[in-house]
Amino acid sequence: MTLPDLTALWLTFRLAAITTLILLIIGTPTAWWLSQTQSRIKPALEAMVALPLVLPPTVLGFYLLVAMNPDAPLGRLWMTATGDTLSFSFAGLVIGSVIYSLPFMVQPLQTSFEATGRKAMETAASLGASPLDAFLTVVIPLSVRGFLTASVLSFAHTLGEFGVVLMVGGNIPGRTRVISIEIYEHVETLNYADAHALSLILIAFSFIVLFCVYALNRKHTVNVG
Amino acid sequence: MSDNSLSLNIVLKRKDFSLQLKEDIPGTGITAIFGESGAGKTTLLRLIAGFEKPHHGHIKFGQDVWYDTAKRIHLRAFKRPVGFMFQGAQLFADKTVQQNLSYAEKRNTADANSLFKDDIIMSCDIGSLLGRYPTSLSGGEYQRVALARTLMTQPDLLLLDEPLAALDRQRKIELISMLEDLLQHFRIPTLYVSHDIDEVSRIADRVLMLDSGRATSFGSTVSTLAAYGFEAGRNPYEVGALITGKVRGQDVEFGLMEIGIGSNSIWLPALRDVDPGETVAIRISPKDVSISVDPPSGLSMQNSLSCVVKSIDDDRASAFCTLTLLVESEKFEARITRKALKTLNLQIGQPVFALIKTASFQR
Repeated sequence: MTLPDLTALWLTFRLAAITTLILLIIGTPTAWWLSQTQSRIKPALEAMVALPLVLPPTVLGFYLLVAMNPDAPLGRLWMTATGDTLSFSFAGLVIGSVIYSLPFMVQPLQTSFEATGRKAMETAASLGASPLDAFLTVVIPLSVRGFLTASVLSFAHTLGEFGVVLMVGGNIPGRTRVISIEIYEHVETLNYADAHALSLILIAFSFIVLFCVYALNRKHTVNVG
Repeated sequence: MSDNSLSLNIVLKRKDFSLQLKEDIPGTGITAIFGESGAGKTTLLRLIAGFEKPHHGHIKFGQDVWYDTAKRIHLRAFKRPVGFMFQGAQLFADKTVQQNLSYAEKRNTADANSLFKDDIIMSCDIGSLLGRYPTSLSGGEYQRVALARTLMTQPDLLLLDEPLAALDRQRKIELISMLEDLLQHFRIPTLYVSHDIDEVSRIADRVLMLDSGRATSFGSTVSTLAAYGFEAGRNPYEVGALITGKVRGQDVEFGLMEIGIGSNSIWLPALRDVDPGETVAIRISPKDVSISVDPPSGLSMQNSLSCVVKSIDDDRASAFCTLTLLVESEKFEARITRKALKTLNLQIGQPVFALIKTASFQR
């Protein structure tokens, strides 16, 4: 068995890593706000964050495709800024993945913040820490497990993405052809050997990552839990 | 009124609770905030610390305005020079004891030196715990570390929310004497929330009594608690009466102190910082009092007071009844069985001897 073309695998990891990073940046403040607010619009925002969990990826992909069309405002803005179309591009995939995996980042973080947040913030404030200081030095270290869980879930969820990518990304090798689509292609063309190889790589990798997370979590329990 | 008095004028309205308070609390010693749960004790502390905002009024500490509706001032919690020890304390679980202390130390804006830190670590007796994580600490150790961490900020005002609530009896006794010494040593004015009359009467200089968000009384510990003990509807068995006496002398050999109550004398374990001639308050719990119609002799109990039966509360539903006794002009109570009442044939106005099993000093 020869090793199949690994371009798709590499592209997928890049996509998942960038998506996770972006989600950390936008998911953290969102989750914090949701965990602390008593605003009346909180349920509405929570529902919006959770939408990708229940919607068929094709629905999400369809609307994204429409929004990314060079005639639509978002697509046009991107076109003028970069000179490239958003749909059928790697950037388009990233945007799609961020929305698609948003609940996997926000929900574990929100739970984690709700458990430690307010008390920890007040304790830190009573010791003279400003809110930002308290968040960075107390809440985040106490939420390490929440961040770990959220990041791994987001990363893994993006790895397995299929429907949204198919809708907005198409199937351009090296640009938008991710591993799940590559495997699908191999199966369609009855190239089972390559489908097997890629699938096994994915299974092994996923297992190792999850194993590391659980092992790390256990070690943390000793000090934190 | 001292320079650092805490001036409170607070109106807070919630759906099911309101708090309305107008008091000036002297900026010295220990003020207990005492009341049933739900009276608003913790809410009051949170308002003072800045975690809650009143709807109207002001909170001033000395010359500093922390909150004022009229002037639209709200000093945020982390900027108030307040040390708040929460109920359940809340040490940072991911940091060692040492790191917990440094966290507070680093954010202390007053100029501190390392002597101060060593002093706190020694006073709280936590030198051997510095490398440990909070989850490995016992209840008493945990509270001591939390107290040390709070002191590390060098607060101008200390707010303690039921610091002993989570501890068993033995730890409580140990920690309360440490707390007494600490607060005297560091001389930080303190508000001490508690619903435990033992703690309050032992540690506080004055008491602010809260009930459903209103101050029902505010004054010296002795007068406030004495009034509370005899209030209708309270359970006097737990409360105990406070009577005052004068220190007559010390028995150094046995470590006792003679307290005169009118023409009576009783002996109690000596206090360190009390001199002859001083007035002290003594608390007597009704369950620790027995009655004799004849002058007692041949008993291990050293303390008997000659007094008069003022009233008899004979509750037919229980095996016990409560006598109110008068010694000089001070009232206290005895709880005896109804059978004993009948056997001794006690009458109102009858002179009797009250044998005091144990009594304790109040500050």
